[in-house]
Parts: sequence; structure tokens; C-alpha cells
Amino acid sequence: MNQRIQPPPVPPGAAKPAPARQPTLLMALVRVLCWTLFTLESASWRWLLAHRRQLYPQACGSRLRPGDPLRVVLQSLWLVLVKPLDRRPQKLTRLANSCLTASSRCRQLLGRSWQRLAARNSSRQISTQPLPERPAGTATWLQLPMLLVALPVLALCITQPLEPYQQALFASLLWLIALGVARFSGRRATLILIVLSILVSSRYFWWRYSSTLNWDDPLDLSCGLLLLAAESYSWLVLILGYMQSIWPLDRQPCPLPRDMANWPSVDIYIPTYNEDLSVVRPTVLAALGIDWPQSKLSIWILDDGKRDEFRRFAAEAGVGYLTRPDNRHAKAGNLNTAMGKTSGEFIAIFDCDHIPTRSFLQLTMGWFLRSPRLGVLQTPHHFLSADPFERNLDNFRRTPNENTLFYGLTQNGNDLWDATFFCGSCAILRRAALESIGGFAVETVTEDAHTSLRLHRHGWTSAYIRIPQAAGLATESLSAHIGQRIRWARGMVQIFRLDNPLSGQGLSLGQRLCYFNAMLHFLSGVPRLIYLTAPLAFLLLHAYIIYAPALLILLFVVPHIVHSTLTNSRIQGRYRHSFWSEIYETVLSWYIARPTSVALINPRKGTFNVTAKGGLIADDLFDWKMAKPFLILAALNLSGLLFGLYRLLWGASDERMTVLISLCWVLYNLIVLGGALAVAAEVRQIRRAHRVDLHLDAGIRLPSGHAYPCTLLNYSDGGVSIQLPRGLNLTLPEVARLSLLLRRGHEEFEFPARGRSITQGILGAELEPMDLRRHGRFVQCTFARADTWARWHDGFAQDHPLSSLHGIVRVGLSGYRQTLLYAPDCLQPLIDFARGSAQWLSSFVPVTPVLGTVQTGSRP
Amino acid sequence: MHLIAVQGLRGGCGTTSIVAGLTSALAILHQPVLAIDLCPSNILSLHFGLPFDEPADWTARDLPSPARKIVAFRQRERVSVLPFGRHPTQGYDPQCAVDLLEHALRQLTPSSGTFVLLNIPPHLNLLSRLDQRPDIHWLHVLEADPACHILLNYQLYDNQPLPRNHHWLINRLQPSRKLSHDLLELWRLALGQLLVPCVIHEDEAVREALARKQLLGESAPHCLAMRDFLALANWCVNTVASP
Repeated sequence: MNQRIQPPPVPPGAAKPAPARQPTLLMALVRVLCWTLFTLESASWRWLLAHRRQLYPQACGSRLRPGDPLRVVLQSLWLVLVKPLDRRPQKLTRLANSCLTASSRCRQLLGRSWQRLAARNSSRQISTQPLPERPAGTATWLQLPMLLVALPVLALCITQPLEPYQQALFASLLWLIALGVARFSGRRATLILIVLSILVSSRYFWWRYSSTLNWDDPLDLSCGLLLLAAESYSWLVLILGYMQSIWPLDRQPCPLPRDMANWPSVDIYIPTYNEDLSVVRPTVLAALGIDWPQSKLSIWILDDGKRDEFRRFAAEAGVGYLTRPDNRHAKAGNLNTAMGKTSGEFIAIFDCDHIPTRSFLQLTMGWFLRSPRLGVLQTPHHFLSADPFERNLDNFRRTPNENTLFYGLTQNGNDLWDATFFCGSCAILRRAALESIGGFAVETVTEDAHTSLRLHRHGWTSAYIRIPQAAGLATESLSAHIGQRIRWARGMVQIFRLDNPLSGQGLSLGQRLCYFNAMLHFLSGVPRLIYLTAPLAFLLLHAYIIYAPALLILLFVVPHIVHSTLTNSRIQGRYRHSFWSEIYETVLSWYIARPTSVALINPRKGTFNVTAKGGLIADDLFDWKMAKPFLILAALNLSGLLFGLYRLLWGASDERMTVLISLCWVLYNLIVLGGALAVAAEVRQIRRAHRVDLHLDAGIRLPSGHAYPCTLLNYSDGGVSIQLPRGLNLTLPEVARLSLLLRRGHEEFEFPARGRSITQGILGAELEPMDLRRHGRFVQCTFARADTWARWHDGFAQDHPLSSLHGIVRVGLSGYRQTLLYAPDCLQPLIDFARGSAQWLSSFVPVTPVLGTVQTGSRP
Repeated sequence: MHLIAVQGLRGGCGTTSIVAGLTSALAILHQPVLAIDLCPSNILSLHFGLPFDEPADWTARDLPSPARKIVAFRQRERVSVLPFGRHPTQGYDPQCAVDLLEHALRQLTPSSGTFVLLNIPPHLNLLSRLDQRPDIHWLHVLEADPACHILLNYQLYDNQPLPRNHHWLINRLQPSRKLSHDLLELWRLALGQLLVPCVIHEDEAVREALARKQLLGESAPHCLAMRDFLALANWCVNTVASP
């Protein structure tokens, strides 16, 4: 019969086929039959009919579908088995609920009092002085014997072999301790968690090294050794990461002397090569507005592009303009040449797109005057536009981005060890220090980190102030972003080879390890690729990569993972949410694996490439070239998944548990790869200029002479959005000239603009073209205000690993959805068919109905 | 009682509007206010919506008799105004004004938390006479123009050092004028803390409020000038009421 064949699901918006007459007749017949057979007028039936939409959500569409009888039968069976979710509070459950809430309140009270206690303890620990207090470095007489006792105990805990049930007991005991400790706030509790995590992870690795390698089978051994090497790398990074972020210093600004005559002279360098003048202009104008004695501040544009346009602009703005005959050694060479031509005691460096705030020097210079050996002071790089990850995952300013961890936590933690790196921009260096090491380092492509390494070697100290004092544009496209990371990775590996921080003189152990970890971080490409393919070795090649019973693997691996997740979530929670590192690293892994390996072997190979900024993605595109490696990896993992399922059902019964574990691993890999695919799907930018959220107090004045207070919401290249006061009804005439009033400290300026539209109390306006003087004022009233970026990161919540995992799963699935969306046309019918049949099949799955609070009719 | 004497450096600085606007803003902050008009032009009462031909005049007699009742008009809960009234002002000199004021304050007995705002015409020199009161604050109204700059310099020249209870307030500021910027910068250097930190912007809504015979808070609650007046009222509460 024709009726049996399921028509393809009608996409929404498509014209519905005209209803056939025959089914209508049929329905009438069925209805009559029902009325004769059942007592439909009874209360029970009436209740059922009244709630049929809630009870049978999948079968009560607008029209009858061929599969509906089957759906009704399945759903009826489900309803017999499952109680509908009822929103009405039941008497018994109400009692239970009140008990539950009472107990949870007790728990909360208890927890709060514990926390208060802990906070009292920890407040004694952390001083809030402007001078950062490093915890006492010398061991007191009590600490030494304690260490002598603790270290052997730790070694014993790590190395003692245990029976499976003993290991289970030990692991659960440690986990309970960790959960208890995690309830406390304060750094001491974090330290305990770190020790527990180190203990559990080290125990795992001891076990891995001592008893999980199969020395008899070469395939097993080679695959197993590869995986073990990758895991050892992760273990090392984990331990070094703990060390690096053990006590973030949170250095506060140091006040300057009252007498301005004692303030030193500062040169501001703005190096540029091929960037547009429109990118450089706001930076120069904002630098002109930095609060510092005019006679002691000079601004220099270091133009390696040697463009007349820039020369004219510099003359007009009243700043210095420097070029050089050759372009040797790129940025480092540019800075070195400029150093010979200027004479300020300090050198502040801004990338040409980093707009400094007016308070930059006043907040930072105090430390240089206080400690004469301070060589470099770094402030965060802050980005006012979304980077490719944020743009493609659509989580700008909701989830901490890739940078946040480094500038929020890592550098802050480095400061404790006096190992803050110079990051090339938004930093100040002492000229005397630079001259003592012969200027900026030119040997590698990351001149910044190498320069600070040399400064540290020569006994100069470093400082980090975690207050965003400049904001810039993030890289535009994913390829440019990856290109930048490749350069960093290659540079760091070059330093590792040419000027290894572990050897050589002048560094403390902490500095050596911090630099070493920074370099290790960029070697993550190969280990990540191993993780992404390791379970396939077992599922497809049947290699026993971890030669141990499945139960033991679980007993060792699970504690290792949960402890490190819990501890890292606590340390990094506000700067990097759990599992997001996986996506960031996976995207980079493929691309940095080769350059870092090459640089590791031959550090002198490779060239300097400039990071492209301010570009534009032409149209809505899926970056197939970028996505190809992830597609291949995803396909491999998918085949592993299918083969694993086959082995689970029809394979050897004693391997099922191991197969199950591998399947979980493969699933996780697939989710992470989906996230990488989601990043690779570039979204077109509709606006050419970046919209920057500002939230500044402002005013507008209309030609009629009326003026209103308002809030400047955002700015993008001449366009502004303005929030009008609540309750104000304003209508704009056809061409509405108005002026925008902005404040900068005590001063107030008017900027002529044209009103465009008002929607929901938000006025869109376009600023009239500004001359240089007015443009300077505008930049100083908006981007260069001292407080513009201060509260930018407040929106990030503390991390919750489970909800973070949920977010990752969602991102991963969306990645696959997007990939299908952009698939080539020839595959489109196949995909449509697959999606349609999946939808059709899923419509048969019974649903647990939710009954509304309002009930009509009595329930039988 | 917090006595604030508001006086323009020259005529036309918008003193009366400032008194009306400040009254409106203080009322929004739930502060009791009594506005007393010492200016013979008799405009203040119209800001409060009193009729043009209101006959009440508390300054009618040369020598106020102690028995005579003085009645202020209650515009709303806790907001009152004492209009000057319409009559010839031949015998109106500083001494007379001070006597009348003392008499009025005795009669009305404003409560301790009340802000009493005095609208003083520019030519009436009450400075030496009112300064004897310990609780008075002066609010001198300026416009950012050269005439006010000259008058301000006369004022500074005559009174050195500057008394702490004198403040200068800038009215009708238009940031688009370059001269305004320069004068503001000069005045900020010369007056320092005595320059009130908020300014009143030029706003058509102030003129429209008088045309409607309404206080600014009722006529145009969203306008920029109203926000400025609220800032000024907050400053008054913080500086004048709790020094």
C-alpha cells in the first residue's frame, strides 16, 4: 500500500500537501467505531482526551501521520511503566522536600561556618599590602623535620603496590578527603588539593611505568611506549603547572613620589610594519593622552614599512617617526635601532593596535622607582574583539578565552618566582637593563620571551600587574590565529634549544622551571595527537597499549583524572573552564606539531611571519582546509567507535570491559574533535569594524536644545549605540543632527553625530567625521579611560567541571551539525536522508510527559 | 536648618532657575525645602506654579510688625516657597532684606533638617551681613563667559583667603565652546575644592519648565539638567548638611 511508505519529513516553511479525502473519511469511521466500542463519555476517557497532547506529544501533531498508531501503542506502553512528571506538589513529596531543604540548609550553614573559619585562617596568610608578600622561602626549624617525615610517606604512598580492592579503598579515601578539603576556601586548602592530586597522579604513573607495559609484543610495546611518553609529558606539565600557579602574587600598583621632578623620562615605542593607519591612529592618539609630565614623555612610531602616510600623520599628531634603512631582525631589530636614536630612561612598548589607557604609566612606574633592579614590567594583553575561537563558538565574554589563563593566572603565578615573561607589548623595560644585555634578543622569532630570559640571567627582576591597561584587536581569522601560535611555538622551542633555561647561569630554580614549562606548553601538539588516536590502536589494531586488567585501569585512571580536574578547576576556575583546554589544544595540535618538532631538531630553520590583524573574512565559509585534519581524525575515531561496538557485541567476552573503556575514550575524542570542527567553521563578519562594548556615562544634545543623560553602550568605527533613559519617549526627525557628550575626568567634550534609529530605547547614531584633534579626544574619552577595561572580566563565573563538560558536549555536537550544514552539494541528499530517517526513527521513542499545573477534569 | 544663599555673579546667570531646580531635586531626594525669594523680579513663585497675580507679599511693609503672619505656600509635601510679591522697592536695601529674612525665619520656624534656599539678586550685597550666621553656605552662580571671569577675579581679589563656606557653581555649560573649556580649566586651578564638582548643562528643558510653570522634576524628569540638579542636590546633602 502507498500509505505505508513514510514521506520525507516536511521542512518547516515548505508548502503542505493538500490533505487527502480518504484519510478524513477513514478517521470519521474510526471515530464512530471508537464511540461504539468504548465509553468515551466517562470521566476517565474525558480526562485522557483532554490531556492527549501532554500524554502523547509525538502523536498529536496537526495531522495524522502513517506511523502514529505504532507511536500511540509504544507511548501507551511507556505510560503504563512510567509515572508522568507532575508539577503539582504531592503531600508526601512535600514532606520529603521540606526534609531535604532542611538538611541542605544545615549543610549550607555548616559549610559556611567552616568556610568562615577557613577564611579567618587564610586571611592571616594573605596580606593585602601593596608590597606583594612572597611566602617565606627559607625553611624554618619545624619545616625541615616535617619534610623529612612527609617525603618518605609520599614516596611510600606512590610506590606501594596494592590489591585491587585496597587500591579502590585508598582511591576513595583520598577522594573523600579531597571533597572535604574542597569545601574550604583559601590557599591552604588549595595546597592540600594540589598535594593530593600530585600523589594520585604520581601513583598512577608509577603503576604505568612498573606494570602496564607488555615487553613481549613489539606492537603493544611501541604503541604503549608512545602513549606513555605522551602521558609523561602531561604529568610533567601538570606538576610544573601546579608549581607555577601555586601562589599568584596579585601585585598591586606602587605609588609614585609626590614630586613630579623625580618621575623618570619614558619613551613609548609603537612598532608597525604593514598595518593600516586606521589601526595605528587610535593607539598613537591614546598614547598622547597618557598622564605623565609632557617634558618626560616622548612617543615614537617605528615604521618598518617606511610609509609617507605615517610620516605625515606623525608630524600632524606631534609624535616622533623613526625608520631604518634595512628591516633586519624584524621587530627586535626595529626596537634596537630605535633604542639608539632615543634617550628615555624607560621604554614602554605597545603593539600598534594596543590602545593604552591614560593611567598606564602612573600605575606601573612606581615599581621601577621602588626597586632599582627591576628590568621589565608586564601588564595583560586585553582584547576588545572576539578571537576566532570566541567568534566561531559564539561565547565571547561568556567563557574565559584562551588568553585569560595566561594573563590571569600563569603570569601572575610566574611573578612569585620572579619569572614574568616580557610579552612584546603593553610592557615597560628599563633602558639600562636592556643595554646591559645588548638590546632586544634577535636570535629567535619570539624576541620578547628571549629578551626577558636574558634579563633574568643578568640578575634583573621582573614584575607583573594584572590590571588591563591597554586593549587591542584579537587576530581576525583562525588561520591567522594559528599562524601566530605557530610562530610563538617555534620561537619558544628555538629558545629551548639555543638558550636552554634549564642550563646556563644566573637563573633560580623557580625561574628555570617556569621558563621550561612555558616551552613545554608549546610542545603539546604531538602528545595531543597521540591521545586522539591511542584508543584506535586497541580498537582497530588490537594492541594492548595499557597492558593491565580493565578494572585496574579504571581504579588508577579515574582518580588521576578526577583529582587533576578538581584541583585545576579550583586553581584555574575563573580563568579557564574545565575541558576547554582540550578544544584549544586540539585545534592547535595538528598545526604546531610539525613546526615545533622541526625547530626542536634544527632551531635555525624557519622565518618570521607577521600576525595579520584587522583583516576581514570574505563570506560565510567553512574553512575546509583548516578543518581537514580534524575531519580525518574524527572519521578515524568514528570507525573506531563502530568497530568497538561490533567488538562489544560479538567480540571476546573477556575484553568487553576494556572495549567499553576505549569506547568512552573515543567518544570523548569525538566530542573534542567536534569542538575543533566548530571552531573551524568560520562565521562571516557583517560589520567591518569591531564593535566594542563600553558602558560609559554620556549625554546627547538635540538641535532643539534639549539634552538627555544616557549610556554609551558600544562603539564601532564611527557608529555608536546609546541607551536612552528609561521612560523617555524620543522620536527622531528624518535627518537628526545631534551631539554626543563624553567626559574625560573633569573635562567634557561634544562630538557631532547623526541619529539613525531608535529601537527599544537604544539610539543608533553615526559620528560625523572627526579631525585629528577631535578624534584624539574621542579615543581619550572612550578606549583610553582608566576604568574602561577594569570590570571587563567580572562576568566569568567560577568553573563547575560538570556543567563545563556539558558545555563542551554541546559545542562538540554543534561542530558536527555545522560540518553537515556546509558539506559539499553532492553529499547533501545523503545527509538529508540520514537526518530525515533519524528524525523519523526518533519520533517513535516514547517521551515522559509533563503534566501542567492546571488540571481540568478529575484524574482517575 | 541648612541655609544656602544662591547668588549670581551678574544678572542673567540663571540663579532663580537654579533655586527652582535645586528645590525640585532635593524634593526628589526626600529632603524638606523652603525656597525664599529675595529678588524683586518675583519670578521664583512662578516656577512653583503660583498664579501671575498672586497678591501675597511678605516684604510689603518697611518695618515688619512682630504680630504680622508670614505664610509660605506649600507646593507639595515638605516643599514650600515664599514669593517676594509685587510692589515698589524703593526702600529695599541690604539691611531691610536681612531684617525681613530674620523675621520670616522666626515666623516660619523651619525644622532642623530643612534646606532653606535664598534667591538673592546679584546687586544686593548681603555678604557681610549674612556671613555672621554660622550655618550659611554661599552658592555663587557663574556662566562660563569672560564677564563672569572678570567678576570672579574682582571677587577673589576682594576676599583673600577664600572662605570655606563659599562655593561656585557653573550654569548653562556648553562643552562645544572652546572658551568654556579654557575658563573651566582656569577656574578649577583658582578655586580648587570650592568649585562645585558638578555643573549644570545648557538645556532647553529648563526654559520650558518655567513656560509650563512647573518645577523641572515634574516638567522634564529625564533631561540632562535634571540629572545635573540631582547631582548638585546630592552634593548639597553631603557637603552642606553633613560637613
